[in-house]
Amino acid sequence: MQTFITIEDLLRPDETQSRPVMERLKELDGDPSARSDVTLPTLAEGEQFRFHIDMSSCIGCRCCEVACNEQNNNPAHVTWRRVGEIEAGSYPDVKRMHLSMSCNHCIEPSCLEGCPTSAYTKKENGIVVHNAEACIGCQYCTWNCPYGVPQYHPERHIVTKCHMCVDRIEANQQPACVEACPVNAIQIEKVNIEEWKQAIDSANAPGVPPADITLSTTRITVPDNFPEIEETQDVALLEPEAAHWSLIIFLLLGQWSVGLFGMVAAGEALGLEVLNTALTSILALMGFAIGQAGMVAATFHLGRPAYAWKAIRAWRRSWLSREVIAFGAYAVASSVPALLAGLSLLGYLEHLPGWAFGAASFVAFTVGLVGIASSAGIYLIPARPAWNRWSTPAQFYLSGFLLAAATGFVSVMLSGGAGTNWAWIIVLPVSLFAATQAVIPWLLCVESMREPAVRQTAHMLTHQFGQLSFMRTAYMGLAAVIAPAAIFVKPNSASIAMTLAMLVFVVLAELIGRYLFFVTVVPRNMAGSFFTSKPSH
Amino acid sequence: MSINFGKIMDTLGLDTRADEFTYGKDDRFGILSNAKIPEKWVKTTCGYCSVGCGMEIGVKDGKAITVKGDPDHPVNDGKLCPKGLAEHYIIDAEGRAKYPLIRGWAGFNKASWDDALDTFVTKVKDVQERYGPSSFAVLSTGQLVLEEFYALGKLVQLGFSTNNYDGNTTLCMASAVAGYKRSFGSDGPPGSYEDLEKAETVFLIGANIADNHPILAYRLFKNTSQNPNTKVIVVDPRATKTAMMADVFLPIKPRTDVYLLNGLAHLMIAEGWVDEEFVRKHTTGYDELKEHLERYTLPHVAKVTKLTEGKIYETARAIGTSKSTFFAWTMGVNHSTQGTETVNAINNLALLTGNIGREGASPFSITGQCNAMGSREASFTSSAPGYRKFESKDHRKELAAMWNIAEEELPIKRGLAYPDIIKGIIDGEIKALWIIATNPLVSYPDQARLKEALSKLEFLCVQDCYHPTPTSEIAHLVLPAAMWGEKEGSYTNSERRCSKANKAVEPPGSAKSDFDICLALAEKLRIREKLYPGWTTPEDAFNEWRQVSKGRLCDYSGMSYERLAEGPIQWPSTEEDPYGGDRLYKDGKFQTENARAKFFCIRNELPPEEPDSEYPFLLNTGRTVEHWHTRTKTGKVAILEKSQPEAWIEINPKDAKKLGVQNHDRVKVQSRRGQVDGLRVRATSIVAPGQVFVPFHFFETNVNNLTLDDACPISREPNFKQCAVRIER
Repeated sequence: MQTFITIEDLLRPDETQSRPVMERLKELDGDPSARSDVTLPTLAEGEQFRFHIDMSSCIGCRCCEVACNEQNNNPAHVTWRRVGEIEAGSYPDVKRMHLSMSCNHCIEPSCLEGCPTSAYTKKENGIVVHNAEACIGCQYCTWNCPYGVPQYHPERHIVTKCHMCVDRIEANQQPACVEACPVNAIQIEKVNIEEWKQAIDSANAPGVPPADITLSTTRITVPDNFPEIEETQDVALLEPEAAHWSLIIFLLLGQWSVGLFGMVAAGEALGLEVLNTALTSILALMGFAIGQAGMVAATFHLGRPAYAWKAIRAWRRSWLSREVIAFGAYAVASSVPALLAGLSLLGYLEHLPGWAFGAASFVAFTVGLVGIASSAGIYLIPARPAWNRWSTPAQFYLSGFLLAAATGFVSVMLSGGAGTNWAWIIVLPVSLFAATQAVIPWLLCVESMREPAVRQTAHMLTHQFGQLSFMRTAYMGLAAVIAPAAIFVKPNSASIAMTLAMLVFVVLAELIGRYLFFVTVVPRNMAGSFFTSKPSH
Repeated sequence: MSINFGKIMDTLGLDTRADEFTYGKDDRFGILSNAKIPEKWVKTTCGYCSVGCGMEIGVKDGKAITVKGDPDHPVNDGKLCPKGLAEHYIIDAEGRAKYPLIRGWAGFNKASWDDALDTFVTKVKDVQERYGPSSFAVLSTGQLVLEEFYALGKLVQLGFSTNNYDGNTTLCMASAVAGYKRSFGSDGPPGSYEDLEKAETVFLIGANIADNHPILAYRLFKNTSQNPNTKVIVVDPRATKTAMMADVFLPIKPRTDVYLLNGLAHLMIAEGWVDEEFVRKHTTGYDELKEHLERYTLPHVAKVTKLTEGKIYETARAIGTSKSTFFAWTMGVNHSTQGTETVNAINNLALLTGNIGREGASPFSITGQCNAMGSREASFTSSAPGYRKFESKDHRKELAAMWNIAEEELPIKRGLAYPDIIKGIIDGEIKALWIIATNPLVSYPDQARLKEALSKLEFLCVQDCYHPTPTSEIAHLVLPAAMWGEKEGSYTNSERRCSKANKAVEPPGSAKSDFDICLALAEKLRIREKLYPGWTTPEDAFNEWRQVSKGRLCDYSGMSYERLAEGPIQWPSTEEDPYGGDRLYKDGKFQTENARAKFFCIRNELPPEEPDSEYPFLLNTGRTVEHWHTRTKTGKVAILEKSQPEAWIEINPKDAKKLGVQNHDRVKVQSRRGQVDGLRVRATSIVAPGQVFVPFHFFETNVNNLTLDDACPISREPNFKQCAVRIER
């Protein structure tokens, strides 16, 4: 009996869930599927199963949706198959089409590539399956898939997705959706992977994101002479995405923490009088505490926090694994300067060696920069165009620097350093960073609007969340102005009040900014229907 | 303090409930989620619409845990619509009526059946003593099993001695019934679904089967996918999902159907496509019709109907030159003040082209509720059981003899129809009402008038499987009924196919089947043995019904529970030829006195209300595939409710622009009769400019606040389909 868990154990993907079922099936005989008049294709080398969806035949009855949920015992808020509505033309020559979509069992599945626990596998027959036991509910796949296929199942704390009824297929039965369709609009067929890659443009269809992102295998028959469509039925249903508060807190605290160590290192390196060792020690301790708090918060983003450690498995390909590793390393690296600072403050270290403290802080800062880079890597994904741009890493770094500079400025002012000329060194970055942060999100609105998802994000920023966007900009602007103003005021209670107000404005603006970052992103998705735009909830 | 380990496990994500989401093998249906593998499968028939799909209910621990289409059932080959696929959720749902409730000073009080039925009998008898027997009226449904309809009819007409008894089927199929009676001498859809599958031309008018009868869309698809030359013609003012299945879509101006049908008939004559031999041998009135149709020239018809001459001609040619045409219709035709005559105009076309009594050829009303057909045949509402006429002394004599009663006990004419019962209440003629398995406070037109009527009643009893419903909430007495899956009986579908409905689970609380309620009431009236001699089970009623229907067009005598257990059977089913009911009138002999079908000269009438400057839009109402009628059932099924959680108003984008509204805006819609607030806008080219559409399932935004209760003078079916409205932001 194995009693110790080794690193290899941790990194080995869990057993796939369907295996015991398949073994059990081999013991049973009798074939209830024999009555099905459509037989499943036999796969040759280089071929895989795929869905064929016939839009010209689909009548939008949603039998597939209901049959799928019944087959898989899914609650109504988890629908692996969804019917979208697409309309084009004008009365009476209107084309009113329906498109039933589920997993496209892609050749390059982005759910699989991003998954930090290697919960996904692409089987030999091409079916992309998800292993419930391996999943920790991080939901990164739900962001990565351009089709909104993987869906979080809140009662199970994990993500689930269409597996093409793989157990049925392996038992020579049709998937539930295929069997339920009254007009044979869903079929299972085989596809030669290499040939399909060459012809990937033919996978494109109205209401479906471009097939080349993940090399979707689904073949869609579009009715003859189907007019160009601009928008699908759900376009007016711009529902905000989840705010992910634990991630907002993790990102902001983590970045703040990294910024603080950068400032400590800079202070030590430059030997600035205003940033004396007593101050930097406090800042280092703060940085450490904030960073730890952020990381604790992050685990509560997971559906299964108890299994957070599984997230390091896929470091070879997943930015999420890399982020976990980088911030894990950061937790260790930032503890060194914090320890030094703590010992010094408690009097255990009579003379805190400045070079050692500075160097340790610099190491922590450097590791933290890598952490922020890997955080940004998570969000730079084609499935979410509003995130997939230069501004994401820029904002992440700027948040860290701005929050750190603002904290530093407060500490300098509180310790009476306002009178010195050196105060400008610390106030300049505050104003500069705040002003830049105020502007960046708006650039999205004036940039290329060809991508509908970005256009919709811009629309949300200016309409549904217009007030919050404005408040954020105003707070940033105020902070940028108040900081230098506080220096001009004689050091008294007014200048202290202004300094504290500046910090509050910065923190509020950053919170709102990160909240907007999450809620206004518009994922690429398959066409929704009039009442349902989202895959779940 | 106890530690909630479950909660801690949940927060940490230690339990993924894996057992509920793994798969196993069911002996009958193969790989299923373990949670959906039952202990047994109970064969039954779907309880929603009259397509009559065979299904199997999966039962585990006394609960219905899943359903499947019955792969061996000839109607659906194992397919089901989305409502059917989730039908088990309606059984163990919130809001089931579980105990009889008697209204007291402070609301409803739970009561025993004994007290509840005493109350019922006392109140009804009291009203009848004071105002006469016909002051008590009954509104029933198309949802009961045939055995219950048969039992209820006897109870109402013979036990309570009132003929003011009608079903909600009058809101649904009455025009088809009346149309059949006029053209062919009897009710009864002549064809079968098999004809839909075999027809060379399928002509669908006012029938959105893709939304309302998806399994008929399956049967049509079976035709078109195997026969690429089959021509599908869809006539509808709205570009429905069904219109998308059409080869020729005729986006007709509302309420010009008679023009189109007459125009097509005119073309049959003009182009020599009339089946002269059939017309000569089997019809009357051809010469008059020919003369009448002269003015329905192609340019004239095209102008009035707003259709192109080309499309009308193409349609006529498809009907005139193909071997067989299947003419099917539903509410687009029936829900009209000219419903019956429009049916006759369809029948004219079928008769002219000899499209009746042959494979693939039939005029065919697609019925609404699961057992509206059984109600037509056995319920004793619009006719006496077995398609007998109230007015016929011979028919009364037959019934009296079979039932062992005096002939005088039988009513000599039909009582008030549904809209006239409502009018009767307002006029003070009707004082007590028994509503069974229907929910008029959603489904009846002109709700303001209906509410006025119901508030005048001295006694209202609502018998339903759900409580509260909008209607049960205002009742004086609520009787809890067992529902589909909780009782035994049979349903007859649109194609005259009788199919067993079986009991899978026990009803909740003390709810009883409508059959048992009838028996218990008869017991209270001390006439149980007289009405129901020796009856204890629905099978007893069925066996009596077999005798009563014997020799009639709707002959069930060749059926038995034993035979039905092997599979559904179409009537007419005689002992000599139990399975010969594929189609009626194969010999060209109709049920009229001279055995000939009749042509009718129909003139198009204007709808009772048309848009004007004050109310500029024409409102059309209808359904959506996810919901059934007044949503008492489907509103409780999460996956259906999720897709269509509320009503909407379809407005053409051009009109939306003029009104300054866009998708998901809320608008107020008003007619001369009432208003609906907060309707969600859906700007869509499905509807024509000047027309709007609202689905009728939703009590919260009830479109029947707006509709007209004007009814067809012949069938008494209300004009749900067209009225004038205005829209405000």
